[in-house]
Amino acid sequence: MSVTTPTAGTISRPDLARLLAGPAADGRLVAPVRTAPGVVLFAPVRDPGALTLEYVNSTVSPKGCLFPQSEKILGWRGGGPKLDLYSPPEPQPLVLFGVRPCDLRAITVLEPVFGGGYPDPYWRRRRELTTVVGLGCTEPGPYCFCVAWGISPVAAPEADLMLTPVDPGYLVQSQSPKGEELLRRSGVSLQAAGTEPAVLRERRTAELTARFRRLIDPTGVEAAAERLFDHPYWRELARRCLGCGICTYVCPTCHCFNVIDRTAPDGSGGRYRCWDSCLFERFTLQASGHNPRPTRAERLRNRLLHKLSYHRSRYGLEGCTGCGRCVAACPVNIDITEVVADLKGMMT
Amino acid sequence: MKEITLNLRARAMELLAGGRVDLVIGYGTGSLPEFVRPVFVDRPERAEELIFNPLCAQNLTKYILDYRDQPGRVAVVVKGCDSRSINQMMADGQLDREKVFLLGINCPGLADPVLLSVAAGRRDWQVEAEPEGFRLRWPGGERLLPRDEFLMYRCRTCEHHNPVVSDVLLGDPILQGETPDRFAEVRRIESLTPEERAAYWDALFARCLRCYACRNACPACTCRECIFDRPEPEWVARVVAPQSNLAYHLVRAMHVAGRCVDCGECDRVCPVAIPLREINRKILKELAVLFGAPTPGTSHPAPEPLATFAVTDPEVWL
Amino acid sequence: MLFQRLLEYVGVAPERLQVRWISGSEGQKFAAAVGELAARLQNLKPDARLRDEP
Repeated sequence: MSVTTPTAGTISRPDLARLLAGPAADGRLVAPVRTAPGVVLFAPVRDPGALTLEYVNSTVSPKGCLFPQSEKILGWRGGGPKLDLYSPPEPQPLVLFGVRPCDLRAITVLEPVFGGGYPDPYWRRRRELTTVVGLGCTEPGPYCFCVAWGISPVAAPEADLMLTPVDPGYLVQSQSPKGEELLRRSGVSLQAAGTEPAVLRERRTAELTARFRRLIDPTGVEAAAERLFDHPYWRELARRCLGCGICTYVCPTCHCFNVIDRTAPDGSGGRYRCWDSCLFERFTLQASGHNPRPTRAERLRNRLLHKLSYHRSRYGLEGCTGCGRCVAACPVNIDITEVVADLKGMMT
Repeated sequence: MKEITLNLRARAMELLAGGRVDLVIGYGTGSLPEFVRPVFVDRPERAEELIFNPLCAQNLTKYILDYRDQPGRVAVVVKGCDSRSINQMMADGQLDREKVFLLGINCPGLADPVLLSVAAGRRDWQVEAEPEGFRLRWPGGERLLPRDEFLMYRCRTCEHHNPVVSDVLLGDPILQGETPDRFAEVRRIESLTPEERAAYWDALFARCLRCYACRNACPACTCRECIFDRPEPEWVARVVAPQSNLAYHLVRAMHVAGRCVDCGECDRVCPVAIPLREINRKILKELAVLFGAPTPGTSHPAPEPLATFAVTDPEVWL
Repeated sequence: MLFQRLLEYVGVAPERLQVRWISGSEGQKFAAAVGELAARLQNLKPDARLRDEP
């Protein structure tokens, strides 16, 4: 991400509401909302008062803003002898507020998938039109392990505007022209920062790192995973896996999708791009009827190796950002940090 | 519950050492104190992994489907609610009773992890059952929580503290008492106006991710090929939208109607806390009202109102 | 019947569901039943939840 003249300064709590008021009123604000006991989701917010700041992280990642669960990418009108195609309306410019550093890193992790040699115009467009406002963490969650991947929980470069809580307000850094624009439009002016941002970042990263409940050392896990590909460990682990899509759907870096064409009786219809999960039974089912991942063991192994090995070997980026959501949400306690420890343990 | 744990381990070791079963499916400690997980004990030495504590909510009978076509026998730990699934699986022709050895647990009720986290103000706690309630401990604190206020939702309307079918009971029989109205929330929703009802369910299904955890956790969902996995014809659109989300949940509810034993798993596994039980309980209520049917799985054999015809059946539409 | 009550429970007008026992040779009865349902539907508010996804 290119950074223009970086602007840094502090704002107060009321300033934050003012910063978001415009986008909220225009129906362009997406922010964390407490939806049910124990559930925080990113959702459109019309009233800045409805968003919550009392969260470590959301239950489902905000990747759906750039990569929607279901996205119509093409439509056609029916009835005539020729196919009358149309493109769906342009996505709306959005302000996505409250994205934690692990989820910000996930944007970079997904860039080579969607923006690499075969660019995805839908992701690209939403990325261009979305202003991402990051929010640094003040405490690690019970399942977080971002620092294990070298990610700082305090700030990340992917945000257009990066907020770091400094009681009683926020340190604000604009990291892109979009961030500048959001600031300028809101009319919020920055006060001088008390501490040099880089210094604050370093200090707080060290402080927070010490408070993580548990941290893994992933060094060597990629090699371990490769060596242990045929080990019975995977079958044993998969015994309890339900084969649902929870881990893939809450994850900020999972990106597999299906393309589905649907036609109504009148001939109209559309092509949709929807999330898919490698845990689903038919994920690799081929037209011949053969399924190279016939049981949950192969499918579970695939997901874990994708996070711990394949993404790195293919793109040079870690596939997991340590957000811990899969650990929190898995109904049968399949814990990726435990898998890392197990794999490394089996190599000694 | 500590005594149950000891009995369970002893019995499992005995069964495995004696070759009476090849596998014991039970609960074990999770990766952190606030988690439990299913364990698959295949050797007597591993019987020590088995536990029973207030977090052992999962209905393990679903896993029987993975092993019933293999030779040998499996033992499964079942609470009262889980044991109804055994009866129902037999009624559905899904299970040969000889295949399973049932380790029955007399369960006084489990703790709701969300409520425990609220009580502790954090998630890194551990909980044990004590006669007076749930003992919650976390770094720097502890509380004895009154059982009634911290029970899991499904346990507040428990119909069977004691398993309805088992080969051995590992605890002391618990007095059943009168079950509070399981359909209180269903009645509340029924009393809303149609617009309010639509709004209520639309808001809930709007957050459905279509992860299918509800279906995968459900012991009544036993189809080899699930209708929702079939892309041609696409019975319910795989696209996530209000229409298809509603359709998915209504169709699944109808497909398990009469076979849902009200174990509450669908509800528990939902990552976005949609109260799915209130859909299945609506059907259970209608079955009770229309056919006088008890909860499926309560006994075996049992009257199956949706699988049998009686001349006295209500005929509303003709 | 069960499904009708379920539809009502989620706020869908129960009159939208009609179940009839009609033989293939009872063409007139079938036409009448469909006509009756169509007429009934005219008076109901459109329900977007029963349409195809946009």
